[in-house]
Amino acid sequence: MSWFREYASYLVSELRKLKFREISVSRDGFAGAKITFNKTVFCIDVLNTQNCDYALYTHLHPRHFPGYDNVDTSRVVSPSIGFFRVKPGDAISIGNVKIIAVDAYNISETGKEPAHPKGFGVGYIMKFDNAIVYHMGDTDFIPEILNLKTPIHILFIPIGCENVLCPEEALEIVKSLRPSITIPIHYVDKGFLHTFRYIAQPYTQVVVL
Amino acid sequence: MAKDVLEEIYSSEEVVPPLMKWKYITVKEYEAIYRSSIADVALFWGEEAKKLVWAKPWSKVVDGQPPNARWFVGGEINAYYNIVEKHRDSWIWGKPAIIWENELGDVEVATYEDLHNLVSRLAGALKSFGVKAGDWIAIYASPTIESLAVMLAAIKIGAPFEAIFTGFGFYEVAKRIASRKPKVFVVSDGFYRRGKVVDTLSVARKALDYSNHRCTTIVIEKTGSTRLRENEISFDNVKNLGKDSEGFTAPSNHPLFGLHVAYEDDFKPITHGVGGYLVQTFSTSKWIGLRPHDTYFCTVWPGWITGITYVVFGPLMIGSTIVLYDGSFDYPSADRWWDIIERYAVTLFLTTGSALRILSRAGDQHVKIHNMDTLKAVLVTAEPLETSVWWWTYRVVGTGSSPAITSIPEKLTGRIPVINMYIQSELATFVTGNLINHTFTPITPGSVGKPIPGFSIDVVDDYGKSVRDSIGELVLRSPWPSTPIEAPQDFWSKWVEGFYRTGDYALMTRNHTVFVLGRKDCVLKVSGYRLSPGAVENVVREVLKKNVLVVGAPDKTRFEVPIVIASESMDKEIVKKIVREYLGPIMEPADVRIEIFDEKSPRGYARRRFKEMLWNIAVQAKG
Repeated sequence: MSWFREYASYLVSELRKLKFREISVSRDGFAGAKITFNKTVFCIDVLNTQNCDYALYTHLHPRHFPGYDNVDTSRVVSPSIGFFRVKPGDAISIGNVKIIAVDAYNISETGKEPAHPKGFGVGYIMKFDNAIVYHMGDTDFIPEILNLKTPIHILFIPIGCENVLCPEEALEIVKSLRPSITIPIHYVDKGFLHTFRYIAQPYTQVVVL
Repeated sequence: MAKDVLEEIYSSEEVVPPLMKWKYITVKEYEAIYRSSIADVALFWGEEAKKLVWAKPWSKVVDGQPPNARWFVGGEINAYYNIVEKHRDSWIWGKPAIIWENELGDVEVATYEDLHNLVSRLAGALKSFGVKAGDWIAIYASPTIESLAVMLAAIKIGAPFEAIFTGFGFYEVAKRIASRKPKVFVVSDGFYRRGKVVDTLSVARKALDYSNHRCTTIVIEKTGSTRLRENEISFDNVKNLGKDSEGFTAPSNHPLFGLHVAYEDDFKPITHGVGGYLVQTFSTSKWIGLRPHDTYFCTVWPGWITGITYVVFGPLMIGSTIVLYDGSFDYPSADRWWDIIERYAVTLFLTTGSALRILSRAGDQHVKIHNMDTLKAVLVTAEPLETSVWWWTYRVVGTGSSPAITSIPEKLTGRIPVINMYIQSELATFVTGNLINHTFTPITPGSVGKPIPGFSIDVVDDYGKSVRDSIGELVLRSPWPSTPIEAPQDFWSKWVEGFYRTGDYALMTRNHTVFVLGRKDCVLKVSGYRLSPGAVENVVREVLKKNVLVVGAPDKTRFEVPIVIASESMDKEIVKKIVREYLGPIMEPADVRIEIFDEKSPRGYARRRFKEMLWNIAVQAKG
């Protein structure tokens, strides 16, 4: 393969953007998402925030947060640092975009302290003019998610089973929320992706970005 | 010729893919269903028609004798409602209708609701340009959400459309414009192919100038940077000119869309009517396996009948999600289609035999790096499929990574059905093939399966007598609901003694399995595209003032390639260049050969003689 084809291959696979109504979304890193709306870039759990206008963090674990020295806190939304500090149930507006923080946590089944205890992190529902995006953060299958009433157009869902949803649990979320498009995130082993994609596809359109 | 093809595609094996193990039926069961369907085709299709929503019921299912039989006489139907709007109050409304991806990796998604909103605005815009029911719209654009929306907008207001394949050059585009005289011409400024921009707008402008037809041109800007001319308007500006909320209710025989179909002496227009076409399309789309939960990827573009019926109409009528890929299959590498299937969890994949032939030669490694376990079938269209390519597709593409029922991935046992089917522009839909959601009998590799219920298919000898296990011509003994409402004399003359001759050689076994063996006449089949030899001859005559013949020679990859036969010396490169520029790269001759032929003898006779000669040479070379 020539260098040109290799470069083209990189461009196609690494810079893939999905346009939906007035927004475009892309993945960035392990659990990160970039959402562009009216030329403003909202980044969720993105480590390199160079091209981000606003950086949202669901929590401050290493694969989600680049470290205190690497963020401009005046443009940060998170449960524990930054100008916009949020807890589940809070709603803030940035321009015409409404951002609602929702619960994201692990349920301890062994009595041990979970990796993401309740109140430690959040998920974000972002409402644009005609599109609603939900980034779930690091969470288990928790009842608060099933009580969400808002329609979801694009769902970023963790499926890697390591302190987050397993594919079968993620399926239950999808069956409940019925998002138009579901983008799996937060997995290392592609087996989780293949299982999730296979079982979830009848209830949503899975898109692997 | 047909005998040589038969050697490549014939097999007597019967394969039940593991995923169909509990779903297949026996030949006896098939025969019972099939025979009852063709015993009274009017009764059969009348029942199928009840599955659509009619504004006014028909008074007679079929009236008149073929080929002039008219279907659902007196019936009135809102086509757009039956394609898109009927989904409004269901969960389908919020799901993606179309996922579009181009070569650069840009992705756009439109839900059924989004598509409807866009279509309604475009329909309003078309009306604001004075388009009325019955006026033609022509579209020369690669497959995008916008170009499909334009077709649907035309349908919504009762304006028939012709989608012109972007592989055609200006001369062929001009021919279609001159024949349809569209009120509005919709073009894209260009599209990406193997990293380069293909400039469709320049071709469209040249075609308009050449045809001397004046109309409004709407430009879908996908590559940008073009300055628009007088009478040209940007698609983005058109979207806000109005909104149509009504939808047109048409008599059953109102024109819906048209195509220029290859006959021996040229491409000629045929038109399908609303009622019969939608009935046939909805039923066959369900039968081939489409369901609302499916994500469906078809590599054939609107501009060819498979792309019209099974991209623009069928999947949307069902409520499936369509993946539209606007790019080359091998860019940046030969795994692009497999990558698309994996990333969008495609469940049903439809492509051509030529494409599979090329991909099989590209190597298994391109397939194996992708997990395609969501696939439930591969459908194949357009041309004879060798058993070797069928087996490659079944084993390498179709086995998947996870075992299912009796499949064993590491042994490449196969898992999902690979189904070759037969279609023709005049017939509008598939008329043979194993039907995942209806009559699925064991698959015979290389065949196009058995006749689909409702289509009275036979193979006959030169005297019109049915023949089994020997080569004859594929015919339809009864009219079908989407019999064209407008067609050239070539079509009408194919009706002999009450049945329709398709022009394709075929062999039908005693248990109704059909093997299609290529054209009996000299119409070309190149990479699955049906092309007219006369169209090439006409251009050479017009531009170079030379009288030539064009015939198809067998080709291992493209099934056939056009060969120009000249009786005097000609510059091969100039001929190729002119054909490429005027007619398009798909019609470029593979060679120019000097052979003496009697210019006064009938062209059909001379073409047949040379076609036979080229096929004999190929057979001798192989032997």
